[in-house]
Amino acid sequence: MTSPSNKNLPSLNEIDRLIHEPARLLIMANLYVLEAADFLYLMNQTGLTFGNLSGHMTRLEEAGYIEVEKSFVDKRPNTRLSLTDAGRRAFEEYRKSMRGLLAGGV
Amino acid sequence: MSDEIDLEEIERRAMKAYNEDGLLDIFIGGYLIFSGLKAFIQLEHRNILLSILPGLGVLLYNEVKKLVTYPRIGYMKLTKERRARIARDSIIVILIAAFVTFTGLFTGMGSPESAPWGVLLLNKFNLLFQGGVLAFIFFMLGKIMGVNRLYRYSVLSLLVFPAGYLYLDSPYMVTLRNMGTQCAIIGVVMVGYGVLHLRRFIVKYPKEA
Repeated sequence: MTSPSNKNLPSLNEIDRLIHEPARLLIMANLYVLEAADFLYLMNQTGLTFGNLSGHMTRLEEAGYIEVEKSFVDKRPNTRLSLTDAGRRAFEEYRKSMRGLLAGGV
Repeated sequence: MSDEIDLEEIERRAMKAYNEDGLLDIFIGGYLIFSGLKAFIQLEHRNILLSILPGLGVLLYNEVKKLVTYPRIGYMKLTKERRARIARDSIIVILIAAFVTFTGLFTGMGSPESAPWGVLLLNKFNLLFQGGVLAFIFFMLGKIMGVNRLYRYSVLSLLVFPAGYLYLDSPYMVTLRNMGTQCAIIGVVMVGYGVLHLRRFIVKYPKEA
């Protein structure tokens, strides 16, 4: 995809595919502008179903991009999510790479 | 694709969702009603009460938010920087407005006929001046907090205060009663609008069993 003249630009291989998936990108972007949010809030903002969000949350947590804190609020289970420093850096890196890639006219 | 991620838009949506419940309108409106009515009722320590009321209001607002909003749309916390920016900008706006209001009121109150023309003009059109100050506060708070509804109250202030020339007993005099009446009217509209929003919010987002 990248022509030889574009060899200084980031290649597609450098794009973080874990973040690149639309639903996970949406989760990361939402968490990036916040300090923390709970599961219900993210469901409402992203439009993802419980199962979908739960699956993506697990993958992002395994990658060390988000921190998941489970607790009880008013005797109800509450799952609170926030970006880790690594997640924040990865998201910034992803945006930078994509910008470079798009600027190269891929 | 990354350029399509509009982080400001996401943040704006977060603020909008957070304030969709109408509680902000109810609390600000309630404060305006109380501060308006204080010109008419004799309450002991009313000024002390009025100055601690915003603090109590914030505490109560947070408690109601926990009961009504979070169980329905979830909880979110803005970044420290964003929260600090909102607090700082709001305080600056309120301080500017308070300074302008008090300067205007003290300049306008009881000014003799021989006072400079600027003072007399301010005295005569004090309702316009007060409406402008309140409109400025609502406009700036709307901008800072990303709540478009507050712009409507800005326009409402610009309409309600001048309308006082039609029905107030002595509209060309600077009195706390004039200001109180107009504030209370805006407060009633805000509370009513807030309750409508709250009702819509509760229907739209039922609490999970």
